Amino acid sequence: MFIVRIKQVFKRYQQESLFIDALSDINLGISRGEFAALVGPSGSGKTTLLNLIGALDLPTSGKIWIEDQEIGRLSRHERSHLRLKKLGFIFQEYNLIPVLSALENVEYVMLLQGVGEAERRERAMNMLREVRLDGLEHRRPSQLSGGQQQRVAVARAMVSEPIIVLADEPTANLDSNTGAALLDLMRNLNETHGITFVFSSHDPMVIERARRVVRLKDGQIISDDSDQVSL
Amino acid sequence: MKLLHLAWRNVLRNTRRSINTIIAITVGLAALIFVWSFIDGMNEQTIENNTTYLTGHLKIHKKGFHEDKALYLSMPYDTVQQTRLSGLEHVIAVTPRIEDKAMLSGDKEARGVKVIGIDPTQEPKVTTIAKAIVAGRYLQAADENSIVLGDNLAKRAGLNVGDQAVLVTQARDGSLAADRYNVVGLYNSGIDMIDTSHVFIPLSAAQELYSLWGQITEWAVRIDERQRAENIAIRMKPDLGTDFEVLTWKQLLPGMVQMVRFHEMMTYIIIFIVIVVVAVGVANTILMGVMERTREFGVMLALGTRQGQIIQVVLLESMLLGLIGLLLGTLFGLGITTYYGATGIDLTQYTLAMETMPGLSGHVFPLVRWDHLFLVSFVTLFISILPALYPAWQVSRFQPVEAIRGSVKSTTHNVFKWPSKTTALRRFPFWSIALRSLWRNPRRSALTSGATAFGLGAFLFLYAFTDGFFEQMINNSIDFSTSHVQIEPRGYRDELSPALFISQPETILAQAQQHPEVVAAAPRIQVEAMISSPTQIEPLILTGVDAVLEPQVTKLDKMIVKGRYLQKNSAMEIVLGRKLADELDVRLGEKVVVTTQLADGSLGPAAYHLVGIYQTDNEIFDRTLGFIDLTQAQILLAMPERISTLTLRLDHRDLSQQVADDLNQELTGTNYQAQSWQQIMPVLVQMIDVSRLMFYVVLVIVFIVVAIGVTNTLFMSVLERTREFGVMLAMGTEPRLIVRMVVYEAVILGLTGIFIGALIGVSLATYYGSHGMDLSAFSGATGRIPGLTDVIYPVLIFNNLWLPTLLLFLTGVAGAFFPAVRAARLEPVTAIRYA
Repeated sequence: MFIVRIKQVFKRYQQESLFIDALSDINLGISRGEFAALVGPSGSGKTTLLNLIGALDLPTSGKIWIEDQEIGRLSRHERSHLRLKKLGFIFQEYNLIPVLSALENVEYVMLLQGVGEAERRERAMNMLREVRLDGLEHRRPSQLSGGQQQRVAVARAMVSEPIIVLADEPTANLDSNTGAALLDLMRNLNETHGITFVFSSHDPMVIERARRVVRLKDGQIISDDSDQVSL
Repeated sequence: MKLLHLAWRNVLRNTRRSINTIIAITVGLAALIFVWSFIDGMNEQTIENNTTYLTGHLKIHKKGFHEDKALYLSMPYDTVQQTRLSGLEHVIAVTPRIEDKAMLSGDKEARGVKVIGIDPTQEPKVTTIAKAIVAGRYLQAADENSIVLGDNLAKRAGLNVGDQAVLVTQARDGSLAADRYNVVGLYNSGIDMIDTSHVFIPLSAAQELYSLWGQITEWAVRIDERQRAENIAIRMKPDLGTDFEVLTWKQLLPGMVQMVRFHEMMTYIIIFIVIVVVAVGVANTILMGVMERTREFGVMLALGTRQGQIIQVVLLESMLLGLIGLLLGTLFGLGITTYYGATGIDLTQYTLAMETMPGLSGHVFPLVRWDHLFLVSFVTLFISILPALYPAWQVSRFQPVEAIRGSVKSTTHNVFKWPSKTTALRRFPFWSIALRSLWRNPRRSALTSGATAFGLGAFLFLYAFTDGFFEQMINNSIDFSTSHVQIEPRGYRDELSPALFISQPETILAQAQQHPEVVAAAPRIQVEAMISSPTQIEPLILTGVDAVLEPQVTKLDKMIVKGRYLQKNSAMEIVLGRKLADELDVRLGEKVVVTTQLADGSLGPAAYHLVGIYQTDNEIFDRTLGFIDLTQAQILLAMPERISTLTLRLDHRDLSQQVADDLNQELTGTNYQAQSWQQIMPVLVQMIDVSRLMFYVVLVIVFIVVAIGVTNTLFMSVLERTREFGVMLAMGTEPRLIVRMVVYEAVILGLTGIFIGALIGVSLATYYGSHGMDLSAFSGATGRIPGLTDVIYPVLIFNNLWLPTLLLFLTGVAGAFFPAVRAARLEPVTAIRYA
């Protein structure tokens, strides 16, 4: 059973008079519990694909379903709601809200979801403990190292129990040891919580640890080491 | 040149911010040009009208005449001297005159007037009353006993072209002189002060009336340019010798000059407020524009750009913005001013208030003075460049590597730490985020709140000052003159004639006393009269009062500085204001003669001993009123048992109109009417209205500039946090929550600004409210406004202040909607990529 289905998706950008085909004829399915990497050089379309899966952007043609919802049919408001309920994001630049503490950053999504105060706090603390940041919960992003910030981002993405966490180059700004530790942590969370992870990356460490590697080049999938190709 | 090019591109790069900055400068400058032109136009009109209709630019008297105005200080009509003076450079014409006071009586009433004896052929070269004739004709060379008077005066005195008027005065030898004159023409200069009080007769007739055969009291001089008056006066002095004095229009019209100065001072205050608010707005934008580009400047430094060049680029950018704003502001300002300069601004609704400034009428024609235009333009350019110095200097000191990494301390991080362990977030999450976002850049937030605070503080204080000003006018006028309500015969107020009277005062009194609000009532007789001492004659409003009852309705008896107040039935006693006593040069115990017209039209002179001098420090009260016992007035005017008005004091001022209305209901069908102090003093009410109007204009300017400032700040702050908002949106934050967050920031900024502004404004107003503000430098101006003295005590009247304050706050919040909506409309994908 796929939780994400992508069918004949094209994405074309227009830059002034120039058309750029970021993605062409993408067909892909992602199942629950996967730990998959979208791999390719700069400009291969991996971030674009991730944004489409994340309902942050819409395809020029083709269809994408998240569970049973086709994102092309959703309004801006409904896509926002979908992201809030079902998706988690981790960005290359961490992108924590700078005025909120680590704990508050993790609480933020639950706040939007209307989770009660006590529960919110407890779940956020538990999550921070899982990413081994207990004791640092009251620090602001500017008072945390890059690795620590990215771990807050992981906690923030996972705390609301999304069906899938999308991570765009999560290790690109980290040194190799910190990056490796973060990946191990995510893999661990994937295994213990059964949460689906999809990365975009060109970091060999990520590829090494991924259980499925989808290679992209010039907007097309050139290899997929999973056998679940047919939709 | 390359740097200029770079600066220009930077200006174009963020067009919306540049436009905002330019709008702030444009609106501020255009408003300043307009306000200043309005005041200049008003001042110019006053000066020009007074000099062209009445005084000319210079006057030459026998030495001491200006001080004394005594007829023994006349001088020979010396045509040789006249020819010599006329031949001086820049002098256009010199004309002989006799000027003195007299009482004019016609059919209806007598009035104190200024008599000007002129040579009908020479006078029009110096002054222009000849051009203002509206009925009949101007004086001619062959005229003997002819008179030309203002149409207003003629109406009040019941005179028309063809009628005979009588002038009664004191001749040079001190004897009473009178003569009859044929009214040949009426003029209307549009200046009430001139039209109601100046009459023109031929010079020969004046010489006859005042026993000044072969003599004149002055030469009136017209020159080519008013500004040269002082220089020409200096050059004339040696030629004239020590027996003569030369006075310029500034010395001849000192009250007017002070009023002009008073207006200028108010203008400077307004200009100062607007400039500060604009400067803060501009400073904020420039500061933000620079800080936002930290990384870019880092790159420039890394590539080897010198610090000086960076400073130059930043300064050039703000100079470009300033220049564009300057150009547009001047264009708009000049456009509006030129338009109204041609059509005039119609303030006829406030004519009475405008006319307290002699020479002004209901229409004001704004006038662009190039020196003022140049000055505001220069200041505007200066304030748009000055605030760029600080960020420019700071940027030049960036460490390239830190700047490129974006980790320069002063830009995004701040030394103050918001306490992290707080429960506020859980209760009011979006308020809390807004507050913390503002705290993140305290300097920017402080500047924005500061602009609001300054605008409001200054406004509140100015408003309190004017309210204090008006409260004083109202209270003094009530206390010293009108009290709260007066019952009088219909039409009496316009004529102050003894022919209009209340015949059964007791009945009316009984009726008035049925109203519980009435705490005291006093009967009065009031007529126009002339008062003369052995050397001087002056106009007077003669008031007969009941020495026991009057002090219960007015407080003039408490203002006696010499001698004592009247006593019941005190025969032949008079109390005068200090100014009038000084003019007449009389001391306590000395005799003065009061001449008035009786109800039957005949003249009634009577002599009184000066028993008391009062001083209120207001020129109008201290100069125009004289008090005698009511019974004495009834005897003088041959109106026993009759009174002109019944003056009522109420337990509260605010009830005046209500009580007057109620009384009028009861008085329907009689010849009497009740008038509240507002109706008795429409000048006051209009002055208050006209000042309010001006304040609202200032307020609107402050509003616009503050709104632009808030919009700009939040706009920048939104732009700076584009990525942050992108992430929030990506995580599923609804756009309306983003709007709310930004609006909350505006609310916090606004509330802080308003709180601080109110604190400053209220503190200043309270301090000066108890200590008073000394305006004695302008006493000539303040003394001409009824009820006003030199020391003003600002008063905070909450009812006048809450609405502007609320509006200022709402304007600020409204300014947030644009950036808020922009933040909410961001596309998460592009926003997250935003660097």
